[in-house]
Order: sequence, then structure tokens, then C-alpha cells
Amino acid sequence: MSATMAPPKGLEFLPVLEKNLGGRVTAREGLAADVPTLVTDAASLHETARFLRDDPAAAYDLFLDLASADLSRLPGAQAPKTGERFQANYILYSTKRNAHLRLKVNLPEKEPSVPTLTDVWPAANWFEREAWDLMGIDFKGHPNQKRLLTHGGFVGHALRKDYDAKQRWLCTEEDLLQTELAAQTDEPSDMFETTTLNFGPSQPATHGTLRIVMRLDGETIVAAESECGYLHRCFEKMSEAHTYSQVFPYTDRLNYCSPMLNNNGYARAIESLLGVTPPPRALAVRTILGEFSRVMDHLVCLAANLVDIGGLTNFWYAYQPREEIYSLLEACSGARLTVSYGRIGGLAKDVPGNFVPWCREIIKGTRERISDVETLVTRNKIVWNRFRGTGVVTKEQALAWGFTGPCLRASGVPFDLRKDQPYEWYGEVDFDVPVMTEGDNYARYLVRVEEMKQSLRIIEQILDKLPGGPVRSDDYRVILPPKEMVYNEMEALIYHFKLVFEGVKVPPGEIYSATEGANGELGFSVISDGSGFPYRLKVRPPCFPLFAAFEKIIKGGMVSDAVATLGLLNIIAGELDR
Amino acid sequence: MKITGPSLPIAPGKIAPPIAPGVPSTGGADFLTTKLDVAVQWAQSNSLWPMPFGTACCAIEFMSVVSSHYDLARFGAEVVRFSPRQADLLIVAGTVVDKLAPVLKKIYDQMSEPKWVISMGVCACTGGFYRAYHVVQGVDEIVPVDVYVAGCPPTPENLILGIMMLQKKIQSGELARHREAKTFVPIRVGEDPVTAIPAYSNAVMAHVPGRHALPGMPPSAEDEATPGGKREMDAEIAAARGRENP
Amino acid sequence: MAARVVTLKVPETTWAESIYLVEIVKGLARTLGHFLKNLTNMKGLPTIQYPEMLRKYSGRFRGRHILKKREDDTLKCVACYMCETACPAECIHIEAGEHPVLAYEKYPTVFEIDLLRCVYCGYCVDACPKDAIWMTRDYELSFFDRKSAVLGIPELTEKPSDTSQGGPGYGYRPYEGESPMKKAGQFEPSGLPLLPALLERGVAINRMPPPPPKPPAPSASPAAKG
Repeated sequence: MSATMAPPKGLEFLPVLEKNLGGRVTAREGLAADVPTLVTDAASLHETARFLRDDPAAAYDLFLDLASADLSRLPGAQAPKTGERFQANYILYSTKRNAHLRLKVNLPEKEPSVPTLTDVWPAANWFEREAWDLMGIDFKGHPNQKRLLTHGGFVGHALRKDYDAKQRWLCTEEDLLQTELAAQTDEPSDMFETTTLNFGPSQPATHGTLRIVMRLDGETIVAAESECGYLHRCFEKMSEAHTYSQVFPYTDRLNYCSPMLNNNGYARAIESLLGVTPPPRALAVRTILGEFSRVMDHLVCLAANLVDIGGLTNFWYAYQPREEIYSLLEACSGARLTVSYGRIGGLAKDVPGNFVPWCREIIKGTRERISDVETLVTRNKIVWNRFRGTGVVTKEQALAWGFTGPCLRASGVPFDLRKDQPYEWYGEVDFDVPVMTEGDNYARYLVRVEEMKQSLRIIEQILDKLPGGPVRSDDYRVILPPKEMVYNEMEALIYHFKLVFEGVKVPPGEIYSATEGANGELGFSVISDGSGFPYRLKVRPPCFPLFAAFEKIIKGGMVSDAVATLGLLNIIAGELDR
Repeated sequence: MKITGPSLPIAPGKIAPPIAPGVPSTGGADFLTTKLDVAVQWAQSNSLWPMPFGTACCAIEFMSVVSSHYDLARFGAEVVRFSPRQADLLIVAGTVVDKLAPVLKKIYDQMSEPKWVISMGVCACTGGFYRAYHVVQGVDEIVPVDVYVAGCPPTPENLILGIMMLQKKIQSGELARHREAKTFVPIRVGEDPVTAIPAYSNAVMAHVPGRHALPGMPPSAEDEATPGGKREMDAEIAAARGRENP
Repeated sequence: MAARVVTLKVPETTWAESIYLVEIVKGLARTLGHFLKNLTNMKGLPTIQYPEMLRKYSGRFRGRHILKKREDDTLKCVACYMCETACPAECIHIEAGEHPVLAYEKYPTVFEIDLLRCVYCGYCVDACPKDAIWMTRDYELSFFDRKSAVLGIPELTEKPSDTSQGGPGYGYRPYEGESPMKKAGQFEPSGLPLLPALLERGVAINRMPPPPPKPPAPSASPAAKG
């Protein structure tokens, strides 16, 4: 880009950056719906990253995602240059400017390596480990570069295009025991005073799939190291082997507490890539069911967490509205939990006839049950003693560790994609974004309770003006034509055959599309090669940075506080490990 | 206990042939012990203490089963124990991945006899639609399974049905069953068993030096044909092994 | 119409709250209220007494599959492999054969669904161009072994018990209500007239020799069967 041209919108700082780096950074044109992209090289990555974080005109303070890709099978114009193969895409966000950015680095085929950005954004730590594990990109200077999602007996890098998706490796108990876990204490001379505690993965408070090894001094945690991957179901590799529409059932199982929100996020990503807009009724129904899913997610979080700290009654109360919402979801989609209700360009079917009164009834019942939980918990001193002042995350820490969602808002940053970049119907409704400054468990609890109330408020407003019309787009290149046409018209039958056998032909391109999941920003980075299958699909799971920071949050606290903190961070293993 | 109701249609095809048939009859001499057995079986079947090995979506549905709408307490199975030593029913709810396999095996071994296993959901039963590099293709690779509950996730009713089927099985004297972990035989729809993973269940707990590729699922013809497919992959794995274990 | 940021405040601790008791009594009052309400109104309890009671699922429930039949009792399926292709779990296995009746051309000789692989997403129903595969509300799918979960054509073919009183009833299906083909004045999904009419008009021939005459039905009494 020449200096005389005006920098692209959102990249006003670019001339300064170009001047500093002598042309080693360029902006790249992309889709209008995509986030702005800067391309740099491995040598100047570190300097660029520092500039992007520190320059007041850039101020990218939140590290959201690292989406690595293996470009070796891309055809035609998209194919990498000779000798190049890998790509690292850093997704950044500026809370001050409400802007996303993709920082792209192309890497060679032989020994791909980039300097680590852990010292710029601490949140990069686990994302880089994941990229090393699954893609084999080496991060120079990384403090702890080892496998994260796959087990110790694994050979190869699973997301490389030449890795056979069906090749498994035996994991023995040996491969799990990592003796260096939690060996690093602050006071090595104190070794005789401390003891090591293995916490999980099969422990009720860790929900079966998280593992934390702690070093304890008495009951105080002096060091901890968390490990995930106990539910690594290869979502990303599986999605490369399935057509765009077949990925919907897989997205259900990412955050299985709020499947509809994942459906929405994925559908939005692919629709932006295609340039298709679903009918307004479909968007309204997506918003309604998405908000119900958010309520369910928060209810599970609170119910499970309160059981963990000993309050069983709330569990019964919190699960009742869930069952009611399940009934509604089942009547709409056909399944209680894994709805698979979204389709590219709309929804699977229209909602049942009694949808609006039914929703209102559920809202009424849910409000009662939330009030039950509040009566038992909010002003209960035992809960105060357990929640207040434990698991404290300051605003600066939350940003540095890449928090999003309720946990970030509980630390005082009012970042909510529904407010900042409204999508679906969120621009049409009034709602509050609750924020607290304490950053402790109690703040996270209060924020979640308030968010549930606001979700119900959003639903009520949309119900008042729920538009009529179809819920499926009439663009039969992306969505299956109605059955009447398939049975009776040859043209529709041809579209039907092509869609099922070849999938939706998404034009070549790249997109990062984010929605507000129940736990924070749920992003989908998609690379399309023009075929019916996603070339690369990377999810930005909201839980991932939360759990990455968990070992730092609990340091210095008690074991019992760690349990309360883990519950209120709401780690969902399905999206953590994918 | 007689289970009534129209909705327990255990079709003849659904019941496996007895696994330990023909315990020789000794006439009427052991009338007392037989009756005692019946009493013990009755007691065991109606006080199953589940240990939920919940990993994923199915665990959420398991929570629904124990909460007020379905109330597992009606079957005497509400005492959910998270300690394997206090439980006699292992409910594997959710996907088990290779990394979790040794943990599952250890938990099963820690449970005291008699013990039963319900595999809840298709991921636990067969791996479901995760035919992938890190997912156990059915927990019967690792532990013996008594009842397979289909569904993704199964409805709470279906899990209750599975528990009732297990109760019937216990009452029919299933205790005599030889319960060692099986070797895994993957079933592909419409095909005979193709590949067996020999003694995987034992291997996950043993000290096995080096790296071991599991056959997993047989490669499709397509995999064989494509460049960079299975065959090239094998060569690469061999090279990788050489690097890691010189 | 916009979102607003609201900063929540931690509630001040009052004297009454700091001595535990008042709040605990308030909580107990709430639980006691639920207890008494349930005690006086046992019918309002949310518990579903499965297996005696069944939860009411909607007509979109995604349960066990069925294969629909034409009016002449042949399967509507024409073995086009659409459902097998659309299935993300690869749980459907079809082998096609040449139909003895020319008008139908193809039919499945093998149609198997592994219920322990199936994720019940309903994509097979969506993909079928011939209205041949539906789902029922049958969710009672527990098995003692893996092989018995693989259903073939005999088990999958629609039976009267699937929809009769007390049966599970239809679940997820391509349309609700009347068949769109009938509405359009067409015949059944093959798009062709039914078999006897074809034979009469000489459009189709039967490749198969006529079936041997059935032996006279034994005058079986229920006792003789048992």
C-alpha cells in the first residue's frame, strides 16, 4: 500500500506502523464482512505486536485467538508461495476502539517458527501451545511449549493436512503422569513443607475433564498447573471432513449447555462468507432461542457450582426452568439438548404455532425460579464468605489473560458483542449490560444472575414484535428447497442433489466472525477453498483463556476457593478442548 | 420386582443370550442359597449407586435424570457417588478420548465387585460421529459394558430404561458373568469385525515403552488412493518414531 | 433502542445478615413454601413417573428411524444414497439392487442404520428426495450388545405399532399434515402411478415369477403357538 492512499477504515495507525517497520507490514484486502488484516513476517512480528498493543491509535489490548492453518492443499490463487506452507493468524481486539484485527504471518514449510507473543499478551500462552500441538508451529521463547490437547503418546500434528484423521495413538498412564507439573514453586527451599495434590480429571468439581495439579502449603495453593485435552474430540479436523451444513451437529456439542448459541455463531460466520442474509423471522427466532440458551447456560453454571460448594437445593430449582426450555427447544427442533436447529440461510423449520404464548409462560416460570435461587444465595452469609474476595481478577489481569464474557464484565470491562457490534436482533432491543468492578466470585455470580434477567427482557421485547414470513432463505444454492418443490419440480431436485452431495459451495475466502456466547466471545475463523467442505475451521472458545488463567487465579488461595472459582468461571470442556 | 407399564417393550432381539449359561443344577439341595441369591439380586438391583463418569453433553442429561423431572431416586439409584469405591454402577456419560482412557480404566478397576457399566450416549458406545484421531471408538475398548444406551444425548427416559434393563439383568443372575475387559472389536455397519485392537484395555494401564499407533478405524479406499493418505502417513509416522525414539 | 452499561453494586451487609440466622430462616421459608405447595398439590409435581407416565414430546422429535412404504407395500426408498451421504456419523449403509418391477428401477437390498452411531440429527430425513425415511418419537433405545443396535430393513420398515394408539408416533419428518405430492395431484413419491395400474396399462412388467400360492393358513390357536 502506498503512503499516499488513505489507510483502510479501522487501520488509521497504519502509516506510523509502516514507517516504523520499513514496509514489512502490509494491509490486505479481504471480504467486507471480515475483520481488517495486516500481514507481516516472522522477524518483525514481535515489534508489530508491541506497537499494536502500545500505540494509543491501535490499542489492541485483548488477544482473542491464534488460528493456525496449513495452506498446502489450497488451490489456485489461494495457494501459498513456493516454500511457504503454514500461516498463523492472530485475532486481536481493542476494547477502547471496539475493533478487531487479524495479524497474519506466513511461515515456511520447513521448520515453521515465530517468536512467542506471550510477553506481549500473556493470553497467547495456551493458544501457542495449542498451535504447536495441532499444527506443529514452533514458538521461539515460549515458556512451556508442550502438548496441550493431545496426549503424551501422540506423534505428529493432527491438523496438518497430511495427517490421517483416523490415526490414533495409544495413551498409557505413563503418558499422563507429568511429574514436572507444579514442580516449580516460588520457594524451592520450601519443598519439605509442601505437598502435591492431583485434582481431577475425574473429580466432581472438575466436571470430569479438567485436571489441575497443585502444590499445597497446608491448605494454601503455592503453585498450580492446569491441563486440558481430556475431551479433545477433534472438532476442527472433523469439520474439515464434513460439508458446511454437516458441521451444525458438531457445533451443538461445543458448548453443550447452550447449543443454540453455537448454531447461531457458526451460521453467522458462514452466511457472512456467502453474503446471504436469512429472513428477519429466522434471525428473531435465533435471538430468542439463543437468549434462552444463555439462561440455561448460566443456570447450569450456578446450579453446578452451588452443588460443588454444598448448596444442593438450588440445583433442583435451577433445573426446572431448564426442563421447560428443553421442551420448547424440542418442539422447535426435535431434540432437547443437541438442537441442530440452525441452517445456513435460516432455520430447519418454523417454530410451532403456540411459540409466543409458550415463551411468555417459560419466562414467567424462569423468573420465579431465579428468584428462588436468589433468595437462597444472594444474601446468604455462607455464600458471601465463600464468594467474596476469592478468585479475584483485576481489570488489567482480565484483559491480559484474554477474558471475555461475564468474567470480563465482572472485572469491570463493559465489553459485550451484543452491545458493541450488534448482530441478529440485538440492535433492536433495550437491555442492560451488567458490569462489576470487584472481579471476585461474587461479582461473577451477580453478573450472571443479572444477565439471565436481561436475557428474559430481550426475549420479551422480541416476542412483542416477532415478524412473520419465512424462516428459510429462498436462495436454493445454500439451503435445501422445500419438500413440495423437491418432490414435484426437477430444478429444485437438482439443487437438492447438489446441496446434499457437494455441500454449499462457499466462495474462496477467509473470515473471522464472532458472536457473544454464554461464556464470552465465540469466534469462528473459516478459510474456504471454494468447495463444499470448510478448508479450515478454527473456533475461538471463550473458555480456553479462562481455564488457561485458572492456575494463576487460584495461586495463593485455598483449595476450597479454587472449587468455587472453577465453577464460576464456568469451564465447559466441550468448547475448551473441542 | 415387576416393572409394569406399556413402555418397557424389551423386544426379544434386544436381549443378549445369557453370557454364563448352564450353571449346573444340583437339584433341590441348594434351595436356601438360591433363595438367598434372589434376595441379594433383588437388593443389588434396587440400590444401584451410580458413579457418573460424565465428560460431555451426556453428563448434562444425566443431571436432568437426577433432578426433579425424572428423579432417579424412584429406582433407588439416587445416591450419586463420585468415589468409585463407593459405587457399583459406572455410568460412562459422554465422549471418552484416548487421553482419558487410562483414567476410565483406573476408575473401573477401583470399583469393588459386583459392578456394572452403562454406556450412555453414542459417543461412549461407539465413538458416535467422532471417527477421529483422539476419540475412543466405544468404551468397550476399555471396560466391559452391560447396557448400551443410544441417543446423542439419550433422553432421560432412555437412560432410565437402560437402568431398568440392567436391574432385570441383575435379577436374572448376571453376577456369574465373567467380567474382564474385552478386547475391542470395532463394528462397522454392515461389515464383519475388521480390525481388532489387541488388549488395548490392558495396554493403557501398562508401562509400554515407545509410541504405539492404534489401528483405529480401517482406512477407506479413498485414504489409500490420495497422496499424503494413509500409506504416506505410515512412512511419516515411522520417521517420527525414529526421531522420538532413536 | 440500545444496550446500556449498568454497574452493579455489592449489597451492603446489614446487621441482620451478618448474624446468618435471618437470611437462613428466609431461605428455609422459601424451601418450606415449596414443600407445602407440593404437599397440597401433588398433581402439580413436575416429576414424570417414567415408565408408567411418558413425557409428551412434539411431532418433531428425532428418535428411531422408519422406512416408509408405498401403498402396494414396497419401500419408497430408491437407494439413491442421499441419506448415506448426508449422514455426518456415517451410520447408514445401503446396498442397491435392481427392482423386479421396472417402474421402480432401484431399491435397497440392504439398508442398515447403526443406532449406536447415529446422532439423531435428522439430516437423513432432510436429504431424502423420495419421502422414504422418517423418524419416530421412539426414544427407548437401549441395548445389551452392539450388534443388536444395527437395524436392517425388517426392523426399520414402518409397522402399524409405530403409529397406533400407545405407539411412539411420528417424529421428525419432511412435512407435517398431508403429503405435498398428493396436494399437487401427484401419486406417491415415485412420481409414477401405483404398481397394479402400471401392470394393467402394460407400462411395467414383473420380472419375478408370481409367488407360489400360500399354503392354507393353519387353524392355529394361541395355545398351539405358545
